[in-house]
Amino acid sequence: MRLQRLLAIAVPFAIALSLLAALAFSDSRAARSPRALGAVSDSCVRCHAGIEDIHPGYKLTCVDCHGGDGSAAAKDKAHVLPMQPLPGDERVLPRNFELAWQRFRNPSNLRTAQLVCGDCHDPAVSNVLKSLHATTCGHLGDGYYEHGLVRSKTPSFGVFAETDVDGDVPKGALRAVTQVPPPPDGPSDRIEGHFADLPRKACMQCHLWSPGRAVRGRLGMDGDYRAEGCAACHVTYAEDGRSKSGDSTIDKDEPGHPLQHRFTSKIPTDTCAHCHYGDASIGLSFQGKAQLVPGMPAGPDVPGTTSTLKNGTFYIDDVDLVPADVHHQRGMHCIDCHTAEDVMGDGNLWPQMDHAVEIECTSCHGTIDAVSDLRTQRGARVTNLVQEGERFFLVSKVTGKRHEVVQSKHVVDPQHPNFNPRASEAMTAVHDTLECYSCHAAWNVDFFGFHFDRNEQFSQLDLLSGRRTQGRVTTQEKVFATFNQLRLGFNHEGQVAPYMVGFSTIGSFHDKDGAAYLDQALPTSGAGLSGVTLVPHQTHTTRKEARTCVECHRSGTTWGLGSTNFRLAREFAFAIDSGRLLVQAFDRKQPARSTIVAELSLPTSPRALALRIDPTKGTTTHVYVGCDDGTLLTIDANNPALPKLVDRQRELLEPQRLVAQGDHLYVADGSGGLVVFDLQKPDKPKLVGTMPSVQARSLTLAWPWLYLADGPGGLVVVDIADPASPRALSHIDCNGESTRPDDATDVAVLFQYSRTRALDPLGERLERTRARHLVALACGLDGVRLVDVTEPTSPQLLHGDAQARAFRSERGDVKGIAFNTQFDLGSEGGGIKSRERDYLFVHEEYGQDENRLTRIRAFDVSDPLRPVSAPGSGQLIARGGARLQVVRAYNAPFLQQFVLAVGSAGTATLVDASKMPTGLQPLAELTGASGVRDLVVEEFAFDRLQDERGRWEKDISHKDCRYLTRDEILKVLRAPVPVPREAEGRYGKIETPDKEERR
Amino acid sequence: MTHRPRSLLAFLVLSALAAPLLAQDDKKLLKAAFDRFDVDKDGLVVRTEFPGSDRQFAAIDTDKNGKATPSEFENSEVGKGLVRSRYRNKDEPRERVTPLALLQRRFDAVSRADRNGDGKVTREEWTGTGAAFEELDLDKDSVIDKRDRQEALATVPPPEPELPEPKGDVPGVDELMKRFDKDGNAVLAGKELQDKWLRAALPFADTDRDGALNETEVRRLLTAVQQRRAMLDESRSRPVPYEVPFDAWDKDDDERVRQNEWMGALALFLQIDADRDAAVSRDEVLRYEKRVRGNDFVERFDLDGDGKVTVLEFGGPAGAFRRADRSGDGTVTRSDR
Repeated sequence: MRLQRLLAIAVPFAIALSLLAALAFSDSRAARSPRALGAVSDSCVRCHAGIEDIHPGYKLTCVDCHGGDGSAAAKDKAHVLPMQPLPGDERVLPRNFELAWQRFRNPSNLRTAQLVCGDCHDPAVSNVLKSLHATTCGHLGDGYYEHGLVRSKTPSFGVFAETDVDGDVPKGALRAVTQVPPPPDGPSDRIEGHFADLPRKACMQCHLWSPGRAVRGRLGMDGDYRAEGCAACHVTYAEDGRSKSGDSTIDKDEPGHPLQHRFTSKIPTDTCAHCHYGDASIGLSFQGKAQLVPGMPAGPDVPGTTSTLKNGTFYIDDVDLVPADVHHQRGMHCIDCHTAEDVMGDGNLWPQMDHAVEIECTSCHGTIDAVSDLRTQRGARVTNLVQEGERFFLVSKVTGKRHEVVQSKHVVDPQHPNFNPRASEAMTAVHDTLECYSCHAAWNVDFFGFHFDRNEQFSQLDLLSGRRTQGRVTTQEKVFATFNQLRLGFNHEGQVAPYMVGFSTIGSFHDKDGAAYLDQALPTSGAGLSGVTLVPHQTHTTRKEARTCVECHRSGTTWGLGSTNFRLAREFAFAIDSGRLLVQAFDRKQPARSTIVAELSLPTSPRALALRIDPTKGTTTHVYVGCDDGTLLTIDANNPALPKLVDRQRELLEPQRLVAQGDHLYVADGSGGLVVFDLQKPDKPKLVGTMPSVQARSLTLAWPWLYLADGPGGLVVVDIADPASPRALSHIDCNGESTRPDDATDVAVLFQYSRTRALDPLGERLERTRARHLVALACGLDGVRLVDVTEPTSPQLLHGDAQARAFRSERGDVKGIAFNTQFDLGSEGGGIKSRERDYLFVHEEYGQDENRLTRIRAFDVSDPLRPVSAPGSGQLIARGGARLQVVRAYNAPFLQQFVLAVGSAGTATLVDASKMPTGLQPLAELTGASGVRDLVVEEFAFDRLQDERGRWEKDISHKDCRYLTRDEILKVLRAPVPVPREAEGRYGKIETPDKEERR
Repeated sequence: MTHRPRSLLAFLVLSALAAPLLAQDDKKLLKAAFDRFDVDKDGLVVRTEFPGSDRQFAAIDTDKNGKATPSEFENSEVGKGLVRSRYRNKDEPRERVTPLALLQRRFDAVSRADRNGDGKVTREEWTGTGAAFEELDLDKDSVIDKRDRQEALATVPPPEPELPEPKGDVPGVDELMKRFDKDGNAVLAGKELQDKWLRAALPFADTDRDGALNETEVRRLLTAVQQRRAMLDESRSRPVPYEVPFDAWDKDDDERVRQNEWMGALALFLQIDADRDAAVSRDEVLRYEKRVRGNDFVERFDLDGDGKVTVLEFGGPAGAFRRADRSGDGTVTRSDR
C-alpha cells in the first residue's frame, strides 16, 4: 500500500518533471535557433566555386552567416552593399555602422557576431564583448591612471561602452566601462594632457573591434594580417596575408585575405603573435624572441636575429640572450595552457589581464603539498589535463601531443624519481607567497621609458570619431633595454611576482610653430606619485633553471630600491669651482654646448656636492655642498636658474664625497668617517648618525649597505638600515699587506644578476652565470680591486691572474671608478654579438713622471674574474680628474652613454661610451666649467620604485598590488641563504702584486 | 614659505648689529656692487637692474621714486648685508685647516659615539671600523678618552711655513737649473740654493727627502706654481663664454656687424641682436658680455633689460627653460624663485 501510494505520487511528479524538462529543452533550442537556417546560397557558390566549408561541424549556408541574397544571379544583387559612403580610412567603425554590410563582410565581426554566431555559441560571444580582447580596458585604465587623468586605479574606459548586466559582478571585476573620451582641453604645459590624445589615435587598432593595422591590400605588413571579431583568432592568416583558398574569386596576390575560408579551434601560437608582439610582449618572449634594441643590426646576415621581416621588423632570436619558454620548446601552444575563459572571457568585465586569466602554474603542476586537482584557480576543469595513476599528461589542443607534467610535490619528495635536491631547498613553505615564475623566469625584458611625441604642427585621425584633430602622436618606443634585471613585488593575489614596465612614459610636445615646448617630461599618477610605473607581469619565459637565492636575498635593487643603472640625465648639471656653485643647462643633444645659466657665490671653499632629486619629476630640489672648512651648505634649487643659499652648518671635518638618497645625505668625511644627515626638512639637514673610520674618501650605497672607500683602511661595509647608527659590518684589506696601508680612494657597486647561457645550439639546456654584489675600488697605485660583497659580513677579494693581466697598467694611479650595465649593439656581420654587459670605467694617471697622462679605461667585468679590456688603450682626458659619473642621455630613438670625468684642477670631460665594442670615443668638454672641483648631472632613476623608508616613488597602476614594505625587505635581505664563494686559494687569497707592477 | 619674513627680519637685525663693523673696504665693495647693478651706467639702479627681491629694493629705495641712488644703497642695511654675504666673503682668505685643527675636530667627531656621556668611547659604543679605533686608541687601553686625545695632539708637528709666492715671473726649468746648478750635476743642493724663494720651497718640493731638488722636482714645483697662478687669474677675471672680435668682424667699419659679416654661431648672433635689426652693434655686444657675467639667470639672459627672460632670449634647451619658468607664464623673472 505504501508502495502504491508512493508510486501514485511519484509517477505523476516524474511525468510533470519530464514535461517541464522537455519544455525547457525545446525553449532553449528555440532560444539558440531563432533564425531559420539553410537559406538558399546557390548563386554564391556559383561564383565562389571551390570555397572551403567554414563550419563543417554544423551545416550552414553562406547566407546563414553572411546574409545577402543567395538566389540572385547578379553580384550587386547578391552582395550586401553599404547604404552610405564608406570612410575609406582606418577608423574603428561605430558599433551600429552599416550592420548588414559589416555582417556581409565578416559575420564574426563583434558588431554582428551576437546575431550570427551567438545563436549557438552563447555565452561565448557575449563573453567576448566583455573580455579584455574587446574592451582594452586594462591598458587604457593603466595609461589614464599613470598620467593622472583619472584618480582611480579601477579602469573605466573601453574601446566601446560595455556593461555587465547579468547581475553577477565578482570581487575585483567591473560593472561597466564607458568609451574612451577625446582629450580634454587644458593647459599644454603638462605632459598628461598630451598623453590623453594618444589612446584614440594610436591604441585603437589592436583589439577585436578593429581589423588591425594591416588592412586588405596593404603590402609589407607580414605577420599583421588578421580579421576582426571571432575570426581574428579562429581564422588563420598566412604571415604574408596571401590566400590559399580554393575560392577562385580571391586574388591570390593581394595580401589581407585569410589562408582559407575555414574556422579553427586549433589556434597556434603564431596566430596569437599576430597581435602580441609589442614591446615586452609575451607572444615574442614565449617563442624566445624580443624586439630589437634601437640601432641594433638585424636581418638574414646577422646571427642572433630573425632572418625574415615580421610585423615590419626583425627580432632578436638568440638562445643565449632570450631563450624560449620551456613550454614552447616542448611544442606547446598558448591555448594548451590558456582556457577558453582566459582568452574569450567568462562573462565578467575584468580590469586587467592578471585578473582575467584563471590558469595558474599550479593548475597543472600542483603545489609542494598536493598534486594537481586538474582545476584552474576558479575551479574550472582543465579539459586537456588528464591524470593516469601518479602521472599527469597535458594533451595539446593544437597538435594532440601528450606532454607529461611534472608535479611540484614529486620534485621535493626525496622518495620520488623526480626528486631534485636543489629545488627542494628553495621550494619550501617559506616561499609559498612566490609565483613560480618569480624564480623560473629565464629573463625579464624591460624597456624603461616609453617615449612619445605629440606635434601640433600636424593633425591625425581620431580612430573613434573619424575626424582629424590637431596633434600627431608618434611613439619612439624604448629608452633603456635590459633582459637580465629582476624587480619583484606583490601582485593582486598577494603573491610575489616579477614587475616589468607599464607604460613608463616620457613625453615631448612641439607646439604649432614646431618649437619644442616640453622635452622628455615625466607624468604624475592619479595618486601624485611618479607615473613611470612597473606592474606585475607573467613573463612567459619559464625555464626549469631557476634564479639563484642571492638575486632576491642580497639585492635591494630587486625590491625596487634602485641601482646606479637606468638613470636618465635631466635638464641641469650642478658644479662647484673654487668659490661658486655653477648651474649648467645640460644640452642632451650637444653636451659640449651646455651653458652656465646661473651661479651662486659660496661663502666658503667648496669641495664636493650632492643633489637631492624629486623622485616624481627627476628634478633637483636642493644642492648640498661640503666645504674645505667642514661647512655643509644647503642650496635651494627648486628653480635651478635662481638658486638660493638657505642653510650653512659646521658639522663636518673634511668632506670628500656626498651622496643624497631618499631622506638622507651620506658624507664620506675624511678623518671624520661616515656622517649621515636627515633630509626630512631638506632646507635644514639634521645630523643623525656618524661612524668613525680611518680616512673616508668616497662612498656608494646599495641599501641597507653602504660601501666606504676608507683610504688607508681599505673597503668598509656598513649597515645603514638605521641611518642614526651606521654600523661597520666588515672591512677588507685591499692590498693584502697588513703592514702597508691601503689607498682606497673611490668605490662603486653593482648587483650582477645571473645571465642565461645556452649549452646547446637550440637552447634546450641552459646554465646561469653567478649572481653577485660586486664592489670596485680605486686603490691608487695598487690599481683596481674587485670585491664580492654578496655576503656583507664576509666580503671576498676577487683576484686572479686573468684579472691582474687585464688591469695591469704602467705606474697607473687609479683615482676614480664607476660601473654601468648597458646593452651593447653588435656588429653588422654578427662578429660582435649584441649583449648586455657590465662595464667598469677607471680613471687613472699613468706613464713616466715627466710624461704623466690621465685617461679613462673601460673593462667588461660581466665576469669579474676574467675582465676584458675594452678596445683601445683608454681615452685621454684633461688632467686632474678624479670623480667619474656615467651620464645617460636620450635623443630619440637612441640612448647615449657618457662617462663624465671631473677633477679639482681640470675640466669636466665627457667621453662617449655608447659603442663600447669599438671602445671609448672622445666627445667634449663641458663649456664654461673650468676649474671644476665636482660636478653632478641630475638624473631620473627608472628602476627606483620606493625609498629606504618604504614610501613609494613610482606608482603601481594595478589595484591591490604593492611593493614589499621596508621591514619585509630587511627580513628578506637578512635571511640566511647559501651564498656561493669563489674557491679559496684561486681567487680568495691575494696574490701580492710585485714591486714592479706597484711602482 | 612662512619662514621667509622671519628670516628677512633676522637678516635685517643682524645686518643692523653688524653695521658699525663695516670698514673702509666695505664702502669700496658697496660702490663696486652698486656699479655692478647699474647696468646702463646712468648712476641709478632701477628695480629691473637690482637682483634682489622687491622687499629688499623697497628697503633701499627710501624716497620711493623707483630708483636707488648710490647713497641710498650705501646707507641701507640691505646693501650692506648684500655686500657682506655676496662679495666680501668671496675675497676673504679661506680658513686654513691645520693638521692640529683637523685632529681636534676628528676627536670631536669621535666623541659623538660616546653614548653614555662618560667622556670615554668604549669598543661597545664604537660603531666604526676596528682599524679606526686602533688608530685613535693610542694608549691601547681599549678606550678612546681624553688621554688619547692629548697624546695624539702632542704628536702633531708645528705648522709648516706656506709655500711662498714667487715674485715676478717664474723662470723656466732649464733657465732655473742653468742659473743655480753651479756644479752641473743636474741637482740643486745646499749652497746652490741661493734664491730665497727656492730655499723656502725646498721642504715642499723635495719629495724624495734627499735635501736637494732634482730636475723632476723643480719641474713639479714650477708646474704647481703655474697652475696656482692660472687659478688665481681665472678667479680674478671671469671669462666671457664667447668673445666677439667686433673690430675684426666689422669689415665696413660702420659700427655694426651684420649677418653676412658675422663669423660666429647664428644662435649667438640672435642672442646678441637684442633689438632684432639683423645687425649687432658694439653696445649690444658690450651689454651681452655684461649679461653673461651676471650671477643669476635673469642677469644673464634678460637681453632687453625688462626684468624678464623669454624663451627666445634664453636660447637654450626647452626643458631647462620650462623648469626655470615655475609660474608657467612664458617668462622667467626673479619671482619665479
